[in-house]
This record gives sequence, C-alpha cells and structure tokens, in this order.
Amino acid sequence: MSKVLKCGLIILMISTIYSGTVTIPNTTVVPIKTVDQLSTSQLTLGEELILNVAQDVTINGKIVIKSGTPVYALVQEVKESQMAGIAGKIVISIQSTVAVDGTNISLTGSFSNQAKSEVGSTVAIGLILCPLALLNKGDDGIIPVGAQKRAMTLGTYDIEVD
Amino acid sequence: MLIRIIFGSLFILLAFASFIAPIIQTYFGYPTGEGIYSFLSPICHQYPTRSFWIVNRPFALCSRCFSGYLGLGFGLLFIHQYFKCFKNIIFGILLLIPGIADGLLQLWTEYESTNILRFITGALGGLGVFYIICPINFLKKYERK
Repeated sequence: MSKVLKCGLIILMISTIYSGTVTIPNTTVVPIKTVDQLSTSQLTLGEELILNVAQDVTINGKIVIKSGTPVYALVQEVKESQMAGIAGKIVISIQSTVAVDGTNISLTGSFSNQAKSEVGSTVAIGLILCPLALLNKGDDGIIPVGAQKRAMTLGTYDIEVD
Repeated sequence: MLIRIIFGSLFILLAFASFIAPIIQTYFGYPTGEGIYSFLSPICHQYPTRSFWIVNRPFALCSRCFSGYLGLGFGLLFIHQYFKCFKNIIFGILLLIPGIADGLLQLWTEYESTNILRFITGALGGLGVFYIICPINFLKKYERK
C-alpha cells in the first residue's frame, strides 16, 4: 500500500514539475497565415474566415499556441472592382484563436490589399481614343495563399501547459 | 566616395532599424516601433516565419532582405573593387544566383528554406548587387574623361 502511495506521490511531483501555468502577456506576437487565396470577387462583408497560426508561439520555452491552430477572422471591408478601372479592396480583420489548453485568445491584426487603380489611364484612353475603354474593369484585391501577418494578443491569459 | 558612404550607411541603417524595431516594441510597449514596421513594409513582405526573432518578436525585415541590405551596405562601405567592369558584373551575377535559386525553388517546389540559408544567400545577393551596380560609377568616370 505504501509503495503505491509513494509511486503516486512521485508521479504527482513529476507532473507538477513538467506542467504548470504560463502567462501569455498582452501584445504577444502570433504569426498568422492564409490557407486559401482571398479575393474581393469571392468574399462578402462580415463573412467569417479560417486562417492558421503559422508557427508555434512559445513562452519560456513552452508552446502555448500550436502551429496550424485555426484562427478566426472576419471580412471587415470589401470593395469589388468596377468599370472605369476602379480597383478592388479587401480588409480581413483577425479575431481570435485557441491556446493549447483550449482557452480562447483574442487577437488584433489585419490583412489588407488594394489592387492598383487604373482609373487615370482608363479615363484618359476613354476620353481621347475610345469611350468603350471606360468599360475596363479594375483588378480585384487579392491576398495570396500563404501570406503572413503579425497578429497580437489582446489581454493576458494564463494557460495550462503539459 | 562620399556617395558610397552615404548609400552604404543608409543600407546598414535599414538593416539596423529592422533589428531595433522589435526591441523598441518590447521595451516601450505596442504600438511603439510599429512605425518602423510600416516604414519597411513596402520593401519587404515581413513574413514572421521567414524572419529572425528577438525578444519574442520578428525583425522588421525578413532574413533575406536583412542580410541583403547588410551585404550591400558592407560592400559600399568597405570593399575595394579589384576587377574590371565586365568581370565585376559577372562576379555580381554569380553571387546573386544562390539567392535566386533558393527563392525560386521555394516558389516552384515543396522545398522550404531555412532562415540561416536565407541569411547567407541574401548577404551574397547584396554583395552581388554591389558588384553589379558599382561599374556604373566607373563608366560615368570614363564618360567624363
């Protein structure tokens, strides 16, 4: 009986040494990457998106957010490209992710892209050469697959790590 | 010579700024230092996984750009060219090849480079750009004569 008790105590001591609470400070950097190409032609305002954590986030050598963890994001602004060379614009707002113990971590940061405007050249060609040139549509705002950004944590979090 | 010192210092300063930005942000708190990240964003993608990290934050330039600007600045400030114009350009192109190959392999295949390799190929590329652009000065000198 005493042997079982001793073994239990040893296991408990080892587990307390190797596990514990780690605090994620405010504005800790979390690298985020896109998993699909995001384009103004495909997205609508307020649409929810899933991105990924690009690399492990470690505090004092312990992983608090694992690489590949889903990151929740919202389409904050989307302007479709229009005729007369008006370019598309897209802004994705990063919202939150999940730590190794399941704690929800609020994040701040954004991806954005605005295609190069062709308004000047389109209007000039339309007026001087051919009015049909005004039908020229601008380029879509595109965020390529694998694009990365720095997001930051909002607030401090105590995380249970193994 | 003065132009070389000015441009060399400028490129070294860019690399130094990218190194100091995360340190400033850590010790003075967000959003201090964010201006440096924004200032350098048009010249580099700033992907965190492709950058060196210090005090739990990435540099404001990726490892390849960081070493590229260091190499270019170092070349302008400290390297005296012994080769003639044409040889300089050939030597410069040879120095650029590892960086281009490393980047294109990543783009076209599943191969993923490391930050150390990016740093080395970036530094060689920076020196390569120095050897390519410097003969322009020589040509201008000859034109004046």
